[in-house]
Amino acid sequence: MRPTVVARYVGLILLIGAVGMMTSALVGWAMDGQAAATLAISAVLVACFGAFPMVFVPRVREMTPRESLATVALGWIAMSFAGTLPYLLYGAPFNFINALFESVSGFTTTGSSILVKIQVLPAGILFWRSMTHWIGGVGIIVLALAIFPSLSTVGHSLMRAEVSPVALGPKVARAREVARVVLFVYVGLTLLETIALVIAGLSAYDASTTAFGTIATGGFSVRDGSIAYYHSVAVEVIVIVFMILSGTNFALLYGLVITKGRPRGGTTTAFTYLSLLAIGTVAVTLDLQARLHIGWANALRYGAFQVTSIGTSSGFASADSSIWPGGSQAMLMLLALICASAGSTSGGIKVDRIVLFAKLVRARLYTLGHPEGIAPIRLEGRRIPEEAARDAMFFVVAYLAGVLVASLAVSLTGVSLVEAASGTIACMGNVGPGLGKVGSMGNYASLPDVAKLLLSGVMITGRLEIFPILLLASRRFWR
Amino acid sequence: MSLGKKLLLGFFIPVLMLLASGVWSWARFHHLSNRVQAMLVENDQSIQAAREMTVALERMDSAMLLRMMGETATADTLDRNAVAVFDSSLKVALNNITILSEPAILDTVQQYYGDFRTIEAALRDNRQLNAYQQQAMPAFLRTKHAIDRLRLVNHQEMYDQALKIADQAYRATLPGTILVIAAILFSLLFAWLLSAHTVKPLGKLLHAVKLWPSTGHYRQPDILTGDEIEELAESLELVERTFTGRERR
Repeated sequence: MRPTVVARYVGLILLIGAVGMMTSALVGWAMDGQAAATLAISAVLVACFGAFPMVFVPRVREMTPRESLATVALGWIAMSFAGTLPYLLYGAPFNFINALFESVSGFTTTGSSILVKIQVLPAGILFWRSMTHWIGGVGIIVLALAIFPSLSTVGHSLMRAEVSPVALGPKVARAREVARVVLFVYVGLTLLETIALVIAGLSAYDASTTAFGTIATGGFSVRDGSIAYYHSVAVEVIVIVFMILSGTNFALLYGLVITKGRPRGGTTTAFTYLSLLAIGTVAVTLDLQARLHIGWANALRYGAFQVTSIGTSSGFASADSSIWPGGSQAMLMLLALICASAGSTSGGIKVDRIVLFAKLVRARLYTLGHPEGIAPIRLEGRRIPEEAARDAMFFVVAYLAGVLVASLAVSLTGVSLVEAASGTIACMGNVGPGLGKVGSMGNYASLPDVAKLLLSGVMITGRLEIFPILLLASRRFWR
Repeated sequence: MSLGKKLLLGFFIPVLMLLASGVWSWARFHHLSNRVQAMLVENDQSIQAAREMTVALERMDSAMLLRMMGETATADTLDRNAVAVFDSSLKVALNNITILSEPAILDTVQQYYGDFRTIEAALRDNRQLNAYQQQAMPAFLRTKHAIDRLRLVNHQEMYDQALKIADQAYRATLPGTILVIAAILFSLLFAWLLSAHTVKPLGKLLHAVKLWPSTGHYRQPDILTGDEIEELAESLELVERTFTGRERR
């Protein structure tokens, strides 16, 4: 392990944060001018820390897997700490713990917030808050690969460490090529949604920040009351459509555009993902109408929005789902565990793993009945190595164990079991809202500082899909 | 980048951060002290004026009662002084309007005070307690309540301003602290990089030079610093080649 090499590339990642802060400073200056200086100074500070290791450490030709893992994990942690600077320099309501929670929540695209009143903050700070979603959503390595050509030599190993193995598949194309495809879809969707929202009547500022939150499946809004603030069915429909698109594998979306509707793969998981959202919407709509009698149209409107928002790990809100019937809440929590497709910006276990897990269970059941039989696991006509399916199973088990342990730890800080468990599920899956006080119209402000720190760790663990953080925590990794 | 520039950058950036911390903190605290001063000037003066108006009004009321008891001379002196104090305090309050609702309150005070003085003038020769209770007393209480409102409004404003200043004071301490912490962290980073990429290569170079006489040849250490140390390591190899060439010749 060469720690200074890791420092060089972590520094490179920090430079992206500095660019984001400077952009937010410009927006803040143009909007109300209140936090422009704060953001600009933060950008300079972060740029100093980011660029300085490059002065001493020369570029390397390749990195070991351990160095790559350390770079990615430490990059996310460093970026989260750097992201606190604008909040801390601005001051109230941000103390260090709150600023760290907000920053981690932004970069991991969780969308959980400690802010009780959002609109009292300057436009620049709120733009930075949404910008953290946009930077974190696509992945800091992917963004770094696209921005810094010097990363191309080590990009492959870095990308392997950051991007979900389910999304990458057994054969990885050139890292810059993958980054190009992902960025093409990411930027394209962001622009399209911004334009659509402006047409629907939102200001360019509201439209772009909402688009950042949607495409990154984050959920930060610049308005108190999230999407419900706009009282617009058109806005809700646009956000629903783009949340669904953002939860779809970007390679599939790219394939759909390039091949004009005939992509080469990924349709089974996409079908499962869309089916889950459809089933969830129908179930919640029926439950809302049966128990709250709010009318079919309203039940469908709010049900579809909340199901899509939670099911894609976005976390926007058009209604307060914490007062909904138990059945609807249970459905939302189930979707918060699974979330959307691999290769998208969403979090959670991901549909791809659930499909593989289900196929593995079916194969196991078959071999129990036919001890001599062979039950190959197939997906879209291709035979999947049992190892890949077993990896998916390990992940599901590790994920659920992580949720259990973290829920217990959070509840030990004095948080009620419902809020601790739902909050942990929401943070681990980078969804955002849980139940009760931490529900869709609530926030995490009232949680004890220890719980906020624990949940910040849970968010990063969930974003990096558990194992890199576990490795980083092991002593052997550093030897 | 040359070693000199690297070292200069490493020392210059933390110094700049500390400087920024100092300037930022000074600017914030200067702004805060101005705010506190403004708050005291704007709101405290009105509160003091309202207090003095209340005391003066009570003295005018006492003068009325003294006059009813037959102590006309004392009453006249007391009333004259009270009116002078009231008028000057009212002038202070009128010249110090800082709150949106203040002009309306002051208009009410002036109107009620005018009514009170009219009643007081009318009752100068009337020594019946009934007339005082029915006419002067309500006018006195109305004026007093209006002045109390003026005081309360300024109190509330002062409290709100104090809360804002407390929030600003918290904000004022943070940037300086953060910049100092950043400077310390940067110095640590610089020390670490200096140790790993300057001191360590120098050690390697020293080791190679020490081995040179015993082994008879210089083995260039693996140094990739991009500065004078790397150049020195390469130059030493050149020196060795030159010497070996001479010996062969």
